[in-house]
Amino acid sequence: MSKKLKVGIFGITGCMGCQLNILYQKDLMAILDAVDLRAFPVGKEHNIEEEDFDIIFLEGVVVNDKDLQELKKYRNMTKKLVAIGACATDGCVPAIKNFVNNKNVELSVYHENELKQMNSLDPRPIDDFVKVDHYIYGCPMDKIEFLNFMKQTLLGKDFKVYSKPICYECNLRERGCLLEEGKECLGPVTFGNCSVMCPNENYSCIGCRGPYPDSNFEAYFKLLESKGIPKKTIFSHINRFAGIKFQRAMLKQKEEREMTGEHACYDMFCHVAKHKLNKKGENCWGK
Amino acid sequence: MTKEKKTRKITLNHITKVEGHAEVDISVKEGKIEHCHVHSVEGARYFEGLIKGRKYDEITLITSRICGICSCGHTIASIKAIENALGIKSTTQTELLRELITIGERIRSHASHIYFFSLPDYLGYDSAIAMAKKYNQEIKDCLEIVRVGNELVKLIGGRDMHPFVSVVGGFTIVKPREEFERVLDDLKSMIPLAKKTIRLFASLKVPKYKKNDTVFISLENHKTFPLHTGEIISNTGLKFSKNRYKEFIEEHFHNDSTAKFASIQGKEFTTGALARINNSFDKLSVSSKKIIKELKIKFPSTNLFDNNLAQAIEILHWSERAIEIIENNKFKQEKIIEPRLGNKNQYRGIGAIEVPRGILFHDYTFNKEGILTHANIITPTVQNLADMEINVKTYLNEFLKKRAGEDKTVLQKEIEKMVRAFDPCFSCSTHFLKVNWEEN
Repeated sequence: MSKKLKVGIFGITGCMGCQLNILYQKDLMAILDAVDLRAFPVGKEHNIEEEDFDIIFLEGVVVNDKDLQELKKYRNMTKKLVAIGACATDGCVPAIKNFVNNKNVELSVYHENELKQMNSLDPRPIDDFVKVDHYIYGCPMDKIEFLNFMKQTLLGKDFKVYSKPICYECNLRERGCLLEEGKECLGPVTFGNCSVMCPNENYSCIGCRGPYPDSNFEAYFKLLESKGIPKKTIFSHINRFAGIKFQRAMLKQKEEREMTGEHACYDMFCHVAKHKLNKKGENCWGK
Repeated sequence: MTKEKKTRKITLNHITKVEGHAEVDISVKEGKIEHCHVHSVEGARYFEGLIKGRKYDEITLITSRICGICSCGHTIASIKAIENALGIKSTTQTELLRELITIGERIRSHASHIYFFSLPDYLGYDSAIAMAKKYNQEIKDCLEIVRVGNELVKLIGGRDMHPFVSVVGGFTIVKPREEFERVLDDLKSMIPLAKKTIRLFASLKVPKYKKNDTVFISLENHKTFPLHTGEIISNTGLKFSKNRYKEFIEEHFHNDSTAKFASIQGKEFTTGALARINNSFDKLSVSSKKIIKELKIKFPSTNLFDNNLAQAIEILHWSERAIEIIENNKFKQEKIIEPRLGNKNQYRGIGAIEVPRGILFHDYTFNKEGILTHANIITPTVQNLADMEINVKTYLNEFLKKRAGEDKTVLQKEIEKMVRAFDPCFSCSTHFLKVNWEEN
C-alpha cells in the first residue's frame, strides 16, 4: 500500500465554522481515516507542525500580522494549500471593512489605545499573499465539495473546478427566478456548485461563493435597476461575502470593455479606489 | 540583588480542542499560582462596526458569522433585537420554529463539546479521533447526536450552519410535514443515546473541586427551562429585565486598557449550562430529573467541571422539548411580518437569549429608515472569561497543595481541562482581545 497522505487542517482568524463542519459530519470524519491527519488543533491535542505536509486545509481571513505570519508558515509547510470557506477564498464578512470607513468601524468596537496593539491589516483572502492550489467555496465551505476534493485526491485525480454560475443549476431545478420576483439575487454572477442552497429555500443567493468569472456584470446591473432595486442595496450585497473578488472581477470587465471602446455602465460599483483592490503580497497569485 | 524565589512561567501557546484561538499565561511562585491570564489571540473582526449603516434585514446574515458553533444563537438573538426595536410581534409558530433551531444547535454543540473536546481529557486520549478504536461506540453515539442536531437545524434553517431561512418577521420557507416527521423519528431514536450520554458523563471521575461563591446567571421565565425569554436572574438573588443589562453587567478596562471583561455588580460570574440547571432545576423535563435522581447527581453544583454533565443533561431535556414541539404543532407557511418604519426617529431593541455557552446579548439602535446606527454584542464567553481565570487559579492552587512540584506538562493538562470545562468559544469573544487577571 502506498503511504498515506499527510494532511493538516488549520485556521487563522474566522468563525471556525468550516473546521467544525468537518468535525460535525460523519462522512467527512470518515474520509479523514484514509489520510494521516497530522494536525487538526480544533479536534486534537498533539499536532505536528514542522514536517512536510502533502495538503494543508486552511480556514480564515488575514486580518492582522499574526495571521499573515501563520499563513506564510503553513504555505511553507505544504505541497498543496487548499483554501476552505469564504474567509480564505474571498475574505467573507470581515473584508467588508475594506469598503467602509475603517476608523469608524474600529472605534465602534475598541478604544483608540486598544487599537494600537492590534496590528490590524485590511482583511484579505489568503491568495492575496500566497499561492493557493485549490479552493473549496462557500460560507461555510461546501461539504460535498470538500468530500469530492478528498475523493479525487485520494484517487490520484485532479480536482475539477466547477465552472458555471448558480443560475445554471437553478434553471435545471426549475424552481423559478427570484430576480423576476424583484428580489436581489446574486445567482447570475456567483460561482455555482452549492446545490443552489439559498434560492432553493426561497432566499436570494448571497454570493458567498465569490464571483463567477465570466459573468456579464453590466447586464446584471441593468436588470437589477429595471426591477427598481436601489444601487446602494446592490452595492451593499455585492460587498458582503466576496466584496474584494467581486470588485476586482467588475473592474477587470470594465477595463476590458473600455479597451474595446465600449462604455461600461457600472461605474459606481467600482467606486472603491483601485489601489485598495491591489493585492498586498509580494507574490500576487489569485484566481 | 534580592533573593527572590524562582518564578515558573507556563505559557500555553495554543489551547487545542476549543473553539477559536486562545492563550493562557500562568506564573507560579513558591508553589502558588501568582497570575493567570487567559487571552484570545483571534484577530479582531469588528462585527459591531461592520453592521453599522446597514439595513435591518441585512444584519443577521452578517452577525451569524461571528461564530460557527453558535451561528443559530447569534441569528436568533440578532432577530430578536431587531424585532424588539422595530416593534414586530412574531407569531407563535415563528417562536416555536426559532426554539427548534436553537435546540438543534444546542444538541450538537453540547454533544461535540463533551465528547470531542472534554471526554479525551478524562479517558487519557489525544483526541476523539484517537479514541475511536477503543471507544468506537461512544464516538458513534456522539456523531449520531450531532447528526440529529444538524438535521434539526437544517430542517428549520435551510442548512446546518449559518442558517438563512430564519429572517426578521418569520421564515422564508417552512418545510412540509413529512420532513418534520423524519426529524421527529430521528429525535425519538436519539433519546436513548442522550440518556446513555448522561450515564457516561456521570460515571467520569471529575476533580473534587468547589468554588462556593460563584455567581451563576441565567434567564428565567417562570414556566419553562430558559431559552429565548425571561428575566436575568442569579443564584445570589439578582433579578432584572434584559433591557436593563447595561446597569448590571459592566465591561471593565484594565490598567493597561487592553483588557476588557464583564462583571455583574463588580463581581465575576458564570453563565452556561451549569448556571441554567443550578438556577432552573425544577423546570427540567420529568425524565431528566428522574435520571438525575437515579444517578444521585447533586445540583446546584459549584464544581465547574460539572458543566460537562449539565450539558449532557441538557441534550436530553432539549431533545424531549423538540419532540413535544413537533408532535403538538402543525406548521404551515406564514407571511413574513414587515416592520412599520417612520413613526419614530430612533428605534432601540435588545435581544437576550440562552445559547449553548450562556446568555447572549445583542443590542441595536436603528434610525427612522431602519438603518443600524449602534450595536453592542456581549457573548457568553466574554462573560465567563473572568471567572474562567479565577477558577483556573483556584483549582490549580488546590491541585498544587496536594501535588506540589508537579511536572509542568501535568499542570498544563489540568489548566486545559478547566478551560475546556467552560466550553469557551474564542471566535465569539474576540473583541475582548486580551483579558488579564491580576492579583491584588
